[in-house]
Amino acid sequence: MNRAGGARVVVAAFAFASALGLPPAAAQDGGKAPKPAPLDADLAPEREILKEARSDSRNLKPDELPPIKSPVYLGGVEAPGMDNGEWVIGVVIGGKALAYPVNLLNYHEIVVDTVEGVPFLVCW
Amino acid sequence: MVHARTLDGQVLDFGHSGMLYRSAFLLYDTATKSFWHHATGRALTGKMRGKRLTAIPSRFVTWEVWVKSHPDTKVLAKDVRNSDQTKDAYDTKNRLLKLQFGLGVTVGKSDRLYELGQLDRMPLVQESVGTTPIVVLYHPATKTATAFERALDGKVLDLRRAEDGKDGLPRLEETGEGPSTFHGVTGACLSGPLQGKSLKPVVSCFWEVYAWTAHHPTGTMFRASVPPVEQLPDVPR
Repeated sequence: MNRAGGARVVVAAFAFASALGLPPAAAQDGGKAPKPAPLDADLAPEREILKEARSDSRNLKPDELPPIKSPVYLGGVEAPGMDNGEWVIGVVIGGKALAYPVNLLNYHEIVVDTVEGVPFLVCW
Repeated sequence: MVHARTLDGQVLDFGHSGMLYRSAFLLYDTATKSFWHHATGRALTGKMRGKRLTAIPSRFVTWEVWVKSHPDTKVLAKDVRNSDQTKDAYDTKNRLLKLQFGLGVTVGKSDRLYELGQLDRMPLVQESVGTTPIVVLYHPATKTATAFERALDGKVLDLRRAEDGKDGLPRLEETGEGPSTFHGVTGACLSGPLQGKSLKPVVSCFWEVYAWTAHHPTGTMFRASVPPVEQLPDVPR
């Protein structure tokens, strides 16, 4: 019986809140708790992002620059075609040092890999 | 940038949408086809919009600097027969020499850009971003810019530039409880009372200044407190 009574109070509170146009969460604590900002509050509206992105003349087809999904790594010393002055993105994952030549990333843009059980993504 | 692909317990796989948004390319995740910003790791559209991948601190350095500081490193293999994979298609080397880049740092929800031109004037910056004390180090000889948290075991360190190591790479020194020397690229403490400990790298990425500004509307830009030589006030004769 208590339970049923409780439910009625909740329904009544909900109806009251709806009548005022308040979301239920605000009604339960007297409207004092600020509603957390949505995750995308600081982003431009989705429609505008898509419109701007679609109008960029440099667009390619999806995956026209093929992501590297089965990367092959070589030991640092024996790696061919590496120049001392070229730029790399270096990262240590699970104690393993890995380098991604920027000249190669310029071509593929994305590397998708898992090392030491850590799934990660490299992009430039 | 390097990002973890695990989000809310789910491992995401990514492809290239082919689209550019304000010079940033958009990734898509194969599960929801939401579009993600490649550098900030945030979803801009779709079901994932607003969500953020966790960034893994990485360094943007020359191969020589990386291999010297990480001798056991592996490197993503180039197909040397394909000249597209070996040429510097976007002239990165020359643009870096002209200091059109900056080190974009993210600490918690705060973004801050350290333009290389500013760091060139002030190669060691100790400040706080948000509430986190950090150090930003610039080594002009190797064009290396790195950023670390400046606290170790709950104690904030006061660091200064030390002489370069034998490897030609920058060093930092802390003198609070006797001198401790840190490697300026790895953050490892090489000698002194803190030996064996490491400064924690801050999430950072090299950005072209205009692109960083476009994608971090709430970010702040570091200004060196040392005026450039050509802007010194005229001295009355």
